[in-house]
Amino acid sequence: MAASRAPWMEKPSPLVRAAKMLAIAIIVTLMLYPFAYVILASVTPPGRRCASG
Amino acid sequence: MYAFILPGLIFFVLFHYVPLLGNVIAFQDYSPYLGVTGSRWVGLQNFTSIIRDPEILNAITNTLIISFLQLAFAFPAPIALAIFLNSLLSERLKRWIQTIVYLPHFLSWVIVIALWQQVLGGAGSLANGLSLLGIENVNLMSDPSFFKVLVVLQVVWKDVGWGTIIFFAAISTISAELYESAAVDGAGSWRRIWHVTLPGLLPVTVMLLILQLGSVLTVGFEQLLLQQPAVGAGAAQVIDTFVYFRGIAGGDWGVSTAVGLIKGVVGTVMVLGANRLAKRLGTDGLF
Repeated sequence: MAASRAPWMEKPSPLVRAAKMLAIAIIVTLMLYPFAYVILASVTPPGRRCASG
Repeated sequence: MYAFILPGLIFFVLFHYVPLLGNVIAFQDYSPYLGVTGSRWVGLQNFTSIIRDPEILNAITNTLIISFLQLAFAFPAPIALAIFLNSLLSERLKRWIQTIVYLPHFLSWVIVIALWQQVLGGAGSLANGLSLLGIENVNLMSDPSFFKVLVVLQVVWKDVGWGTIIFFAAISTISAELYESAAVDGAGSWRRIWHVTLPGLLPVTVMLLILQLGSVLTVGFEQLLLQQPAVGAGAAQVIDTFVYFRGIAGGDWGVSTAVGLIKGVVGTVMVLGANRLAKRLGTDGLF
């Protein structure tokens, strides 16, 4: 669905838009990192996993 | 028509009201072999032995600290996330983020703690990353001083997304005309959140807060039981785990039922008190 801005809604400043993008990136990373780490650790060959700690 | 409420009514009577009769065990030297009718009555002896038990004081302290931290940080987190997601215009982006933040809710605590162990444990990615910087032996999962913060972080990670659902529903009931009027009066986006969104969320927030206060002495039995071996009872013993270890594992049924009874009474008093306070502060309250 396309984004729609009501006529009375002001356009956010570039700083606010950047802050929102940063917040989204942080939220998504925090939520998905444990899953991604476990999946990657599961498919990594045991020898390589041990070598990388 | 009233027949439709029968299954729900039977469920509540069977599983919520009939078990209340079991509270008589709190006044007995209960033995499962003798049963409720055959066990010896001891009056308030179980309650007095609770007061003298140093372990229960530790469990109450831990429970209250974790409960306070959850009220201060885990309770407002879904409100903040719901307001933030509501400020995004792209419906597609909003749905993607909602899907991602809902995901951990569907995992059991066993899986959640295993995942966190992989990230923050002694052999986890944080410890590996810090060892590259020369900082060795970092294991936040077995650090008693960090444990209470860890518990709250786990709760936020698991349930912040799920908690936003009810606040999204509340936000959707706020009339768009209010936002438009505020904007016409010169209110910017922060002012609209402060003067329109937050007052619109107040009734549902008060309702959830009252319910939360009712379970102020219940702080994630499974989550704490699973992590207690790593951090020790000093940091992770709460009222629920105390009841489990003393009653189920230790066979001291009378004392653990007495603790459970006190917990129930405190929860009821908290709900009634919070409801009265909410009404006195001008909101509708829960009942």
